[in-house]
Amino acid sequence: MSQNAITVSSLNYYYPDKKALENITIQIPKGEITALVGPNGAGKSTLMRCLAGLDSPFSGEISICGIDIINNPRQGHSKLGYLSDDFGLYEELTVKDVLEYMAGCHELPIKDSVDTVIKRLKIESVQDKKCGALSRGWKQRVGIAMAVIHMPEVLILDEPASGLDPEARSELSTILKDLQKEGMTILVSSHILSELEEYSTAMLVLRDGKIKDHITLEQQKALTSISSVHIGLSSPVTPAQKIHLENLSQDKKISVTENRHTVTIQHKNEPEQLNILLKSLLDENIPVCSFTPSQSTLQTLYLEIAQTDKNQDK
Amino acid sequence: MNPEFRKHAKLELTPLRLLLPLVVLLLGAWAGWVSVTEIGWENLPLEHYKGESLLYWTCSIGFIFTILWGTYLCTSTITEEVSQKSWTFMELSPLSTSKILFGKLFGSTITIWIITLFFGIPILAFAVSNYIPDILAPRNENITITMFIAGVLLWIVATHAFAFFTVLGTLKLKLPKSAALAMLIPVIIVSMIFGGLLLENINDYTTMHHKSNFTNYNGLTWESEVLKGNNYEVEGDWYRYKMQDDNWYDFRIPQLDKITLLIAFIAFWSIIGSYRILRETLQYKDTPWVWFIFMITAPLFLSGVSNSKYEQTLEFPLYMMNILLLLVCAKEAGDIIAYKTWIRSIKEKSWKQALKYTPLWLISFMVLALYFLFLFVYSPLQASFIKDGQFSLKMIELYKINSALIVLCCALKDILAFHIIFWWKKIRRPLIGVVVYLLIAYVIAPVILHTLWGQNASFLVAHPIFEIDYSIKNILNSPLLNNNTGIINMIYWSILGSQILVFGFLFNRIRKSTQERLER
Repeated sequence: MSQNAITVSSLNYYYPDKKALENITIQIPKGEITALVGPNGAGKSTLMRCLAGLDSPFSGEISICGIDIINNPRQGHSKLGYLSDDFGLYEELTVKDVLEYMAGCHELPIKDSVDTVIKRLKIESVQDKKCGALSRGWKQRVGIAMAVIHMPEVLILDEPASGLDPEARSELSTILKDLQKEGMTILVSSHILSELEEYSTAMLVLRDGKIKDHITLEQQKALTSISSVHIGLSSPVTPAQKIHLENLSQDKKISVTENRHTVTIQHKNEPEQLNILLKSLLDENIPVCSFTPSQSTLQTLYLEIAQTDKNQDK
Repeated sequence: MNPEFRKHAKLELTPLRLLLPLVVLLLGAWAGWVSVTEIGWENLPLEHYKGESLLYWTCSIGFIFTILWGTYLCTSTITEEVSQKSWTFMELSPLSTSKILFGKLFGSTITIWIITLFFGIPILAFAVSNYIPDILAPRNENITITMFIAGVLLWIVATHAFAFFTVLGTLKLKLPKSAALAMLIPVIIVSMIFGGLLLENINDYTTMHHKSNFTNYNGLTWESEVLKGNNYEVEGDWYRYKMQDDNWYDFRIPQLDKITLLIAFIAFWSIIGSYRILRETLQYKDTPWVWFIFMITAPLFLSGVSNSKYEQTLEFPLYMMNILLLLVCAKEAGDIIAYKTWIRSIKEKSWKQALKYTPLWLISFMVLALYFLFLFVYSPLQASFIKDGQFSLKMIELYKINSALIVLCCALKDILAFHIIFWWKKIRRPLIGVVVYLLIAYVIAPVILHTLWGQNASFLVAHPIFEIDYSIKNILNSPLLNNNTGIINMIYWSILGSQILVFGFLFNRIRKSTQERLER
């Protein structure tokens, strides 16, 4: 049995005047929360709609938990949940009504499944309210509840955090982590990379309809074990100090600002190692007035990938 | 219970929405019944006039609720879901297409169906039974009432389903909601015509007169005209004109039954059409066998329905097939990706996939071509000459071959033109472009040419495919009549041929540039 929840091979999707997705091949293992990132118009929503069986690609194969979603979209829908970025609810129905509708569509025992999903998504307080009367945050929760009522193995969320206030975003993060713990594989797109950092275990970078990178949490950890340390100096760095700093740097290189008051070196990101570094600087009488290790984040990683990609294009 | 049905029922079935039309209907029915207190000039029993009034009141109120309101309700299930963006949830549900269709068609109109079935239909049956006089009934009254009620119910279903099909089809063409709603106007107008036909036919069962109303005109007397004549049915002092049956091809059928049958046919294909287009929306890709069957059955069935002897000929299906071909071609011509997928499937010898992506206009063109072949073999067998060498009326059968060939060539020319219009990037609204092209080719150009150089000139450039005037054939088949006009025939074919060549050349150029654009 395949360990991949989502398998895409050689996927091509055309709009009448351009290629929206080109030769996409990805494998997303079960239980991952994968962040799908990329600039506007990169093809994120199109890829997600193809994965959800809502759009038919020109060529290629998509398998969701072993089901060929292109040829059996309705069968595949029993295995996946999808929430688009601009979804709407049945405004005149209550939350309970819409959940009962979805449960009925999936031929689930209505009362049990509705009660369960209401508890899981913690929406007891609004269950009897009309959907039209809910705030954006609550609507988002109800939308996710509708998408996961049948406990799908794969959940695809397109920009779920857009329009949410910070509190609702934090709650969304908790919900996603809870769903992952229950074994769900989640693919989520967002523009807010800092937020994806909280819960994603892998990052998929899409640009101009092509996959630019697919980094897992382990790879990300390896990449973020080295970080930049910005050292502020009370007096300009001397040539001797420069040599010493170069020796301390992981890649034996340093970057110095024009006024020679700030030096950036590459160093291991662990607290003990940073402590040793600071001690060493002070032992050498380097006039340290500030010491700022900068964490390599998903955002910096993404920007690095984007920059590399742009350079290659040039 | 079907969740789609239940969802719409929950949204629609409110006490106010149920009670308001019910009260209006009952008040209208009451007003219709009590407002008649005197008999009319025909001297029929009072119940006849009360029944007539009740029927018209019920039908008028029923039309507003079932057709106007009902059509709006069942189509707003699509437009509302699209505008409030809940459509995706329905697309994602594993519900079968038939359940979704049933839920949308009948769930959204549940109040209307409850009132119609439990109140409207009994009132209609009561009204019609009073309206039809007990004497001189051409057939069992219950059969007439049943056919009328069946006609009414099918009429409602057909209107709702056809409106659903039209709106979903419009939205699939990525036209705005306003365009989709505007499409309801012709649907309602067509529906009104069919409703009117039903009422007109039930009227036929009620037209009878008393002896005292017989007008002595030009020396005609009751005895000489009515009692001895064969055109009347008489019972005591009452008489009526003999009811004429109608034809479906050569089968005799009462007119009311014929119109009910026609509505049933439309209802059936509207439901099938709605089902198929909904499946398409849900990303199912089906083989085009349903369209193939429709292409054959619809023209043949409707050809038999027509009262015109001309349209009952084998030529009528030819024109109807061509109209259907142009309609689907206008729908499909812009879908470049579907063409690309189709060609790729053929190259990969994935025949089932290729069949699924086969353009429906191509299926239509093939059916048209097959029909031409059929006429080519069948028509000469029907033709005959009289001894002195002049051609008989049956000679007209031979002309059908030529007409069929013209229709086929015009179809080819139009298919090429549609693709040029849709693929040419400078045309921003290709659907309007297609309408303009058809207007120029088949209306404006012939009219101008006709004005400038006379009738023959207009036929030379653009054969109006819907023209049924025999004079066209006299020109086109002129070698059969005399040699002088044979030149005109040659010129005609040369012009049509060169039009096809020019369009073919332009199409090929635009195809190449489109392909290059896609490759980039």
